[in-house]
Amino acid sequence: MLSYGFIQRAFVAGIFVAIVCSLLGTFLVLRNLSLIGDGLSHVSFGAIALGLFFGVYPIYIALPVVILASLLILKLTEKAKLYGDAAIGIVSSVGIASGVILASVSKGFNIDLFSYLFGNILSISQEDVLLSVILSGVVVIVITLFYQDLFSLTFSQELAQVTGVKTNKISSFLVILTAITVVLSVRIVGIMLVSSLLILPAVTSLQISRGFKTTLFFGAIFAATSVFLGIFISFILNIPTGATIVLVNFGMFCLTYFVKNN
Amino acid sequence: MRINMSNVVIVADKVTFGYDIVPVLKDISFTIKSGDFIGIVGHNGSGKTTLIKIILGLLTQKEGKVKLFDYPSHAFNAWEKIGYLPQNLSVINPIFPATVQEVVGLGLLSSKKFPKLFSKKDQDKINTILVDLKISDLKNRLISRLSGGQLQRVMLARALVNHPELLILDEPTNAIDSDTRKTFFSYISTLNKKHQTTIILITHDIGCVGEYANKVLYLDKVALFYGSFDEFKKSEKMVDVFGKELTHFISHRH
Repeated sequence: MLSYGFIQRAFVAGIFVAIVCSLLGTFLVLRNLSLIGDGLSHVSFGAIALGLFFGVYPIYIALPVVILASLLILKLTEKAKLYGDAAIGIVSSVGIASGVILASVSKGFNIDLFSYLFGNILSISQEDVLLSVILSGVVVIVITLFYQDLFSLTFSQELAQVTGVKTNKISSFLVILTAITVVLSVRIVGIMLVSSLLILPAVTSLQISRGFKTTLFFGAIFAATSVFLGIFISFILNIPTGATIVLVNFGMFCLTYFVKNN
Repeated sequence: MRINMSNVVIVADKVTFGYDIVPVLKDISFTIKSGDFIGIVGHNGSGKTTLIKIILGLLTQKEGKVKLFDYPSHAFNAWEKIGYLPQNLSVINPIFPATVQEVVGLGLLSSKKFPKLFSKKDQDKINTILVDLKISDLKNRLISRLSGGQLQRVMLARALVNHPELLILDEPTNAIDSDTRKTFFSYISTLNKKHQTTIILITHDIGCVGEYANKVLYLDKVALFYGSFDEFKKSEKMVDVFGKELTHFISHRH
């Protein structure tokens, strides 16, 4: 199975993207922004539709649009004093609505759009792998450089401010990194399932947490394991890979929850 | 008389704050000098915490000026000079997955430049403050596994780890028993006397203000009293406000 080129590409891109998702997911879950991945993936739907409509490689349109949407969610939460999930709901529904209208007015690209809805990790190209590895590397480097600021902001925004952390700047970094990661993940597990990669490894790791760094570390291990097992199981049983990765993640969450509470 | 500005820690000049048309603070003016131990007292809703948040730049006053170590509060950035213990620890998530030493280490960020890496010297600072506050056995424990009193000491360690010149404590003894409270105040008092650390203590515990603070600010949306503890005892206005309780202050002090 490992001798197939498409399986190798799926392992490499999948594991890189899943690790980055789990790292960002830990910060988002603890800041009550778990659903931002869901909202941004819906915006990706609109942006990808826009790309397909104009015949441009969809990721190139999706990246700037989703980054702008992530900053809009942040501003709506801060300035308009909306609850975080309400801001996500607004941006998310606008994204989906735009995608649906674009898909409806140009009837030719619906099949392409549906391939992004559910993702297909087994069909990704060499370019997608390279893009995933490079952007994942960038995200990991930025998280490492701003680790203490991100940790401080996540622990308490008020205390972070009075220790000189530029909380607005760091919050923006966090949502921009999330936007980049969501766009990357869309190719792997699809728009419908992307938030699971952000949330599930993080909450699984929180079950057995022994500290903040160890939570991040075990989240990454769970994420990588879920992609490895997900691809393996889906290949053997001939079932959809993205959905299998999500269910493996859910299985690991149940297992850690059971172990913790017994 | 000429005021030596290098000795002045905080100047508040006619600070006014409110939400929409509801006034919270009106025309508050005072000066705090290095080495002062100020007790800020007042009933619930008198504006004590709001005043502290304005001083720290977490809220912006509608009118008036605040200077912190001679900088306007919005332009202040020497955060390593300040240690802050927030009210009731309500600003933190009690089940946050961090160890005691990770949380205490956050107090060192104010003196760090990008990329804010910790050295062995920083780890030594963390270990020392944990020993000083008698919580070194909790070093690797998750904060979610601590009692209220233990968490309070961890947050105090976070506020003190950088040896601040100004320590702001907002209702610090709410969650702790009377023995721990005594140890807590005796530690704070030593910092003030030995190291000249300026302390602002917001509290309902009127007795401990009488016992430890040398100045009192009594707030009720306006500053009803600001002055030395001796003046406070003699103030007729305060005798009217407190009645017998003022005598209680004095009996604690002497």
